[in-house]
Amino acid sequence: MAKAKQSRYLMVYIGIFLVFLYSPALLLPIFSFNDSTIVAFPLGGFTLAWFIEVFKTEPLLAAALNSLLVAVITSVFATIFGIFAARASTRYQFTGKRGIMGLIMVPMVLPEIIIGVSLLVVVLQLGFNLSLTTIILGHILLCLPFCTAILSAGFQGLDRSFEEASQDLGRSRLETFWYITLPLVMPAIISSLLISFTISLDEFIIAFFLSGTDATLPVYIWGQLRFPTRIPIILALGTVLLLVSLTLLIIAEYFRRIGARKTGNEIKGGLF
Amino acid sequence: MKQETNSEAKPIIRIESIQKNYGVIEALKSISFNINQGEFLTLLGPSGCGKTTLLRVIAGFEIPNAGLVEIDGNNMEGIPANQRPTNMVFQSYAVFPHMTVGKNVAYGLRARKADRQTISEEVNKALAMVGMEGFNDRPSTALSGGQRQRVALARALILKPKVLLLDEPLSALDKRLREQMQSELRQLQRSVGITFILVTHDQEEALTMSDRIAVMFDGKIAQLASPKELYRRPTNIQVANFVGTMNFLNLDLLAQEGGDLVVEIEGLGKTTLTIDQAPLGYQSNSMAGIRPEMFTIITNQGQAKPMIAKGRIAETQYFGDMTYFDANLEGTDRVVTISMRNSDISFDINIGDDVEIGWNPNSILVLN
Repeated sequence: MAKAKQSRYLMVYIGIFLVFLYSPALLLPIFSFNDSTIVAFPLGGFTLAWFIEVFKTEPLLAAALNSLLVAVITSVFATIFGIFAARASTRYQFTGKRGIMGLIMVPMVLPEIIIGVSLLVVVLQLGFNLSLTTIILGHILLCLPFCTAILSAGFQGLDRSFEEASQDLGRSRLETFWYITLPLVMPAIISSLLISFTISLDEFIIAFFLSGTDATLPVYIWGQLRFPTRIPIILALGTVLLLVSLTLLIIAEYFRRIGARKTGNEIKGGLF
Repeated sequence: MKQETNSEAKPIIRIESIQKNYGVIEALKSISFNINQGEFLTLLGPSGCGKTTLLRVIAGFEIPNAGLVEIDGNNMEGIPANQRPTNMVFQSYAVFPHMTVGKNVAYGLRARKADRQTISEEVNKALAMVGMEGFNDRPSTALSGGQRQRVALARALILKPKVLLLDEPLSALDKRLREQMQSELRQLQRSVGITFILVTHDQEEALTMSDRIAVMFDGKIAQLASPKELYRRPTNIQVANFVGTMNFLNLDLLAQEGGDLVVEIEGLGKTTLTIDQAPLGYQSNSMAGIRPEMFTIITNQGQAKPMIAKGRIAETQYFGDMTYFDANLEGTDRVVTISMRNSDISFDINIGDDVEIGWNPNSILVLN
């Protein structure tokens, strides 16, 4: 009896927790369909005008394209570097390994504003112009810890005897990496690409400090918030981004699970 | 270490003074021996004795700190695993999960750039050899443990290695399947004529499968001999204890007459042993060793009884065809194990019974 009562309180707590966590995000799609420039209840009529406006605003589309470019390049490079780091940390013993791996992970816990400011100082001191390239470099630094963590788990779950068997059967180390290691850690690589893509796509602080004349989408959105009439458009854009992010995360999780099954590991934790 | 020499067999592998250290730990302590062409050799020992390390040194996965590995007359120093004429069956089988059975078996031939026709013929032959014809397109994740084992075997044998290395290949299988695979492996080895080196910690498996067994303790080979020799004439107490069951009794040397030793054995009494029952001579820490089946509980008064000791049954264990008795030897606190075929027992023997135990002086070994 006491137990049933306890679990009822627990359910109430979970309910309140979830409402506070997710209701703000739900307001976004609701107001993006609202036929009024004022973001407040009561709602006006239903409209798709804001969504149409999103796709008609030239600078917004340019910023979206910039973001896409930055996110794709960032995810590719962060994942390649992540593969190197994960492979080294799981397969080889070398002096200072813990320290080096620790340094790779530091950006995950460092406040982004500190990374942003210090990168800005370095870039300017070196005499580079601020551009999408500088944003990409900043984002690679930011994404690398996440990629390394995901990929390390992937490499760790890989039974070493697969690689040894391949060499034993006559393949060189390089061929073994290509035919055995990569296919077996592919789910982790895909998760790493998707996660870093998502992180880069909506990253604001570093992009704000390191952007020149070309703004990324979050930087553009921030600029538009000064104009109250533009807010519904931003909400519509936000709704689109929310959908894209969710889709990517679900795909990433799907591949992570396939990977866990392939290497015979138990599926633990994760996003869903 | 005593080495058997067989004049007609030529060594396919020569191992000389192999030393392998991990930091301060000596995993292999200057090991030397030869493996003959077409031989089934087993490396037997408890975990941590260095048997797997030795196998991996031969395969090329571990580089020894010192010493020489020669395969078919070629020095293997500096030659990586993928260029050695050896193939390995791993303990976990390591059947590639992202490939079908056929692709797994073809993997090595593809590395050798064989043409498609040859590959497909050889794959079918190899699968037939291990009793898995028609499995080519099965995903390897859908296989049972025993099937994976066979795929791993086919995948290694298709390359016709000079030596096949097997790292505890049967340890993950259940008892019945293990016994079946033991006899299949033995038959396969005879039919292909390839030298097999098997690593195991299971002494029964080693005895039933091998031509010769190298018993390893603590990074060294304690004895290298045929299964019969190993069981009948273990060179020391450690080997005798690891291979089969052995009763150990305290031993006092009373006199040495020519080559013979006159000894007093705890619970058994005074007897004379020939010098070849004590190949390493008598030392202060020597013990008398006798196998359980070399004792007989006298149940028939007409039975020939070379020597008699008295004892009281402390425990019985019934195995259907055999019964194992623990008997307390009279006048000592020593308990010995006696095994009897049930067909040789003519009346019930129960716990607490006083019995006469027959034994023969020439079944005693003096071990250190």
